[in-house]
Amino acid sequence: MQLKYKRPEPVPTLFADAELGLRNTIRIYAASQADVEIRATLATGRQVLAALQAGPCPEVLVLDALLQDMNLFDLLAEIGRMELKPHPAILVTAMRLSPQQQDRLLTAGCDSFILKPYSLNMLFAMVVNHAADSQAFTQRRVDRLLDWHLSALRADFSSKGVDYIRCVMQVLVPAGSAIPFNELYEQIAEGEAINCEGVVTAVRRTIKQLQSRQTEEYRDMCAYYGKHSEQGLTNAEFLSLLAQRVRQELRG
Amino acid sequence: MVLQKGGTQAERDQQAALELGGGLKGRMAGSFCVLQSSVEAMQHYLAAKTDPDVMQELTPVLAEMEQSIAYLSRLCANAADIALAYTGGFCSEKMPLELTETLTRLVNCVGEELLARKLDASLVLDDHVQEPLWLMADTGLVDALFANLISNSLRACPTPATLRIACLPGREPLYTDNGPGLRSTLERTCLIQGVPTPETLQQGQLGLLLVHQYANALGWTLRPENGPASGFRLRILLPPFVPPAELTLHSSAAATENRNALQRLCLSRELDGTLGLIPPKEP
Repeated sequence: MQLKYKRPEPVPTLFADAELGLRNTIRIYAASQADVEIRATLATGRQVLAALQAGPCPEVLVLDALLQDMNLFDLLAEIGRMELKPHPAILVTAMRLSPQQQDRLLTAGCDSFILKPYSLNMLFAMVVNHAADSQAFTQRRVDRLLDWHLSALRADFSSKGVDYIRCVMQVLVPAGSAIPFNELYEQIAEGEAINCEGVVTAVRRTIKQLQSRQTEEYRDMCAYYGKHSEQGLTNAEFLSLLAQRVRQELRG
Repeated sequence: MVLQKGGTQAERDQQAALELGGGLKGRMAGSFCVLQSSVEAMQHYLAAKTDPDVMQELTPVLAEMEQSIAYLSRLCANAADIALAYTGGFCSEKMPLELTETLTRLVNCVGEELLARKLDASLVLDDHVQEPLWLMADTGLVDALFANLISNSLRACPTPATLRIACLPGREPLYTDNGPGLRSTLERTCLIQGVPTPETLQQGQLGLLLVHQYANALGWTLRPENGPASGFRLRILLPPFVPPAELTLHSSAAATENRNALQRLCLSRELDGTLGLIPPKEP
């Protein structure tokens, strides 16, 4: 199995299987690779729930279908009720799965399955591939790409305006479609316990600062709209173009 | 064994959870998983922690262990299927299946496996009907039947091995290869009636018997043929399609992706157990 995306940091993962031998081999295998960090190897469903409640939330959960203390569907339901943010990808390991069972598992919150006996190489590759699609990983990638652009624009990372721009990008970049900016400003304002106008002003002030820096990145953004850099960009122009560029880079 | 339709939701959930255990094959699969992953973990650990000289000595031994486990795992799974067929029947959950789509995916899987194993062989699907071919079938049994036919052909055929599946009018797909064909009347009888040949009993060659058992469980009739050219020719007579009262199509993107992955896994395991494991890539 080919890895979809080679990420620099290991994927934090919880592994649960009633079989002690398998938990031991997972630990040994994990010690000699760097793509997956096995946070814990657990034997029961209740241990899984306790680990998730204690936090921090792993990016991937590998759950065997036959944990002795809990029915798998009950466990998936409990995990769903926890409303974990970001929600981990869930892989189920099982002896056999009919299409009906597969469908039930997918409906219950499972993302994928692997049948026993499995290759550890394949299992770990699946963990990495599912993490590559995970919400947490996407958020971190957006942040990193954004940091690069903001650095190129010589932004002041300590300013509130940059924080608000980051929040907007986290929604706008994965969305891939137009979202009214007022809605985003209102959400940020609610979270900050300030009024919407405060958010708009902070973002505008930051963009004005970036204009004053007259970096090559800023001039390039203005040129995209057919504008001279002295004319400056509106909030909407700046945010839309930044989101577009980060989205393109995210897709590779 | 089929999911009970009655009972409370909790009882049905409990039964569904029990069925995830997979019965006899499930118990074997669990043990083989520990064995296989132990060897893999040892390989990785030793590669990272020991001297290259030590690793050079151990590598062929560990590779041999890994291969033997793959052979044993397949043999046990086949023996369990034979036992299930003669005792109580397979775990069979039939659902509506469009066979041409399944066979198209199978051909793609086989292509990838042949490439990975560097085998001079091909599997081609000739669709002469160009219409959907619906039937009620257990997808696991369909995958297992074709995986066995294909692995039998790959072992028997001269290179380049040419395998074909033709979808013909009248719900009678035809499987052919360019191998030596059935060697005796006994083999024909084994395929049609499930009567073990002397080779089956003395040498443990289960291929034809398994194909018969899977077909029988699916309600398919097998008819070996003599054709104008040499080679194995097997006509598969499919039963009429009776749609269920409640039709549930498993068509989400995630369901399809997982279905494809499971089909590939079934084929890969069959070929691992008959042709040997795919050699690791050179660093």
